[in-house]
Amino acid sequence: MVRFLVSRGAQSLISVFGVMTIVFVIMRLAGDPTLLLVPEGSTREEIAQLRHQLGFDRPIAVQYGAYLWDLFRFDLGTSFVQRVAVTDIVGARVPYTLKLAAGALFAAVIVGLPIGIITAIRRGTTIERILMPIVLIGQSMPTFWSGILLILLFAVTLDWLPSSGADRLSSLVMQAIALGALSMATFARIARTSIIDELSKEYVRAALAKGISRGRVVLVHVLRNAAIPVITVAALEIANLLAGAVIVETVFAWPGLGQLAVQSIQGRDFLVVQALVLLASVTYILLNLLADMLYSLVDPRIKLYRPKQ
Amino acid sequence: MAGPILTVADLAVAIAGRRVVDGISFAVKTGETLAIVGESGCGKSMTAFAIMRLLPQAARISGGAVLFEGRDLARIAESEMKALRGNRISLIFQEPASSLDPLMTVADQLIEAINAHKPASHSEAAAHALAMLRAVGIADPARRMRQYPFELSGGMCQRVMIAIALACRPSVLLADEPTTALDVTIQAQILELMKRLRSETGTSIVLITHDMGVVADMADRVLVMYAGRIVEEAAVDDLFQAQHHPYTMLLMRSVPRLDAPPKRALPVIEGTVPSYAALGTGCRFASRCPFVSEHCRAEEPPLRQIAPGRATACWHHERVAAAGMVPA
Ligand SMILES: Nc1ncnc2c1ncn2[C@@H]1O[C@H](COP(=O)(O)OP(=O)(O)O)[C@@H](O)[C@H]1O
Ligand SMILES: [Mg+2]
Repeated sequence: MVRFLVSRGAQSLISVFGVMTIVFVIMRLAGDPTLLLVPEGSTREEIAQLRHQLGFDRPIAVQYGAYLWDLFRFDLGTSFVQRVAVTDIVGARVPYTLKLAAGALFAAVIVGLPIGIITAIRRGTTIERILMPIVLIGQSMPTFWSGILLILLFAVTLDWLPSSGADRLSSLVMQAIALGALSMATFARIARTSIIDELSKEYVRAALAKGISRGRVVLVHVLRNAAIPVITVAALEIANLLAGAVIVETVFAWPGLGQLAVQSIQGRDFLVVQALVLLASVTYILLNLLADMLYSLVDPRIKLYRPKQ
Repeated sequence: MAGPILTVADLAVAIAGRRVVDGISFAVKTGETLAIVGESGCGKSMTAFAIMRLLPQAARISGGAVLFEGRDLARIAESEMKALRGNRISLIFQEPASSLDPLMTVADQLIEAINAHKPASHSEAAAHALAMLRAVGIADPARRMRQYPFELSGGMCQRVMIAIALACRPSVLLADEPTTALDVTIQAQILELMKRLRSETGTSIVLITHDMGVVADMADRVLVMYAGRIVEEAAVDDLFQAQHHPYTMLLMRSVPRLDAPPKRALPVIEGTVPSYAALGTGCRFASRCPFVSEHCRAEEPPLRQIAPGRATACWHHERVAAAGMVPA
């Protein structure tokens, strides 16, 4: 397993490096990056001065080296719009998005997995017919739409929950539901398919033939085997939550990274946008690495895998 | 031999209204090995699964009885059935590698089977498991105990399955094509193992196969199944001596015999098992049978006793047997 993890870790590092390079190339492809960074209405002299100050007049290889070195030191530059270090701007928003994503993931898992398990085990029963529409709704309702409906119902009509803001735990409820609905549906579907798939395998009949109960077979054998695809999907789902956060944070005025992304694009704050792109990519890569690590804990075929010399 | 330990009476299994097992009856005597042979799809596995009450969801027992230790397994409660499975009556499968849980060690899977019926302390169960692995001829059993199925060969997996099946000393072992997925040398080893365990434990075996070579090697008695029905029943020596059903001849023809001179060329029997929907009133084998007559197409021949311990479902069995005799 150590060998597997080392090799996956190395792959992840290479991916991170690749992402950094792509971001660098894209910034350069757009022409002179100085033009992206200067506030609107700057004079020619100001632009030239800034270009020199930022080192964009140096050879491209030198710039690339400096860029990587800055990233290595977590120096993402200073926003010209806000005159604040980009790491501070982004850092201030991270906890909000983490809270939102955690809430959404929690809601998705505690609703989605049981629905998936029950609808797989009780196929063709009334309970399946009751639960499947929930999955369908979660899957097909666009986030901005469900968000507005939730606000209308719980904030405007019933006045139970605040419609915006992020200061109380109660303000997380609707937001987490709106953001988590799609993931809930995904967890339910993957868990269901995966369990149905496992239930049809010969080892299930063989386990029953030992004289153990169906419940125990499901609990001890089927769920563990079915967990493998669910784990893989979970990592990608967290990444999807971050994408969904852009919409939910806008609808609910939630001061997280999604809102920051929208604001920075509108305000032409390109260093912040660049930082967000890097952050999202690295998060995605790390989540995949995490999924592989979990995977290898569950599956002995990976845990014990020794490549032939 | 003593009386029957397992009696199947007029058992029928239906899948979506189709009778894939259509009223079969047989008895397994204590210590006996009864082979059930027939082409793939004729209902052999469904028969075994019905006895164990482990049919796929779509299938159900639609008639008949399975008498075992004074009870009808087709009717007892699931909890009672659970107490018998793997304990008094066991089942092993065609695909040993996929019959084991890929995420569980050999030891845990064996211990699970032991604990299901004979709860013991972990160390006792582990010792029992180790002894079972040794009994089924697994070398270095202590190491194998800690391994996962993917680390074992197919033959080794089948040995583990046999160890699991026999851990609680059942009186009947149902073996559904236990060697079909294995290559020839391993196949011979597994058959040897089953013979040795049979003589050590006196377990009755219902051996399902489509291989007449395996039948000749293992069985005392043979049932030949065709399209969900038994078409011939005989002691193994009698069956190899003379076949009283043309379908049995077809099966025999596929076995190369090294110990006998080649048979006189048989009439060619062509075709495939008819689809269940196409079954009419007559003999199910009529469309493939070189001996077919009007009588066969009009009326299905019942399974009739033609000698002690010998039955056939063919109107023309005497003509068939005469035509198929091996020249001296
Ligand atoms: N899960 C299933 N659903 C529908 N039909 C099935 C299923 N399993 C088996 N059958 C049908 O039942 C018949 C008997 O199958 P089976 O007992 O497995 O045959 P055998 O073991 O002799 O090869 C076949 O015609 C097969 O097509
Ligand atoms: Mg079969």
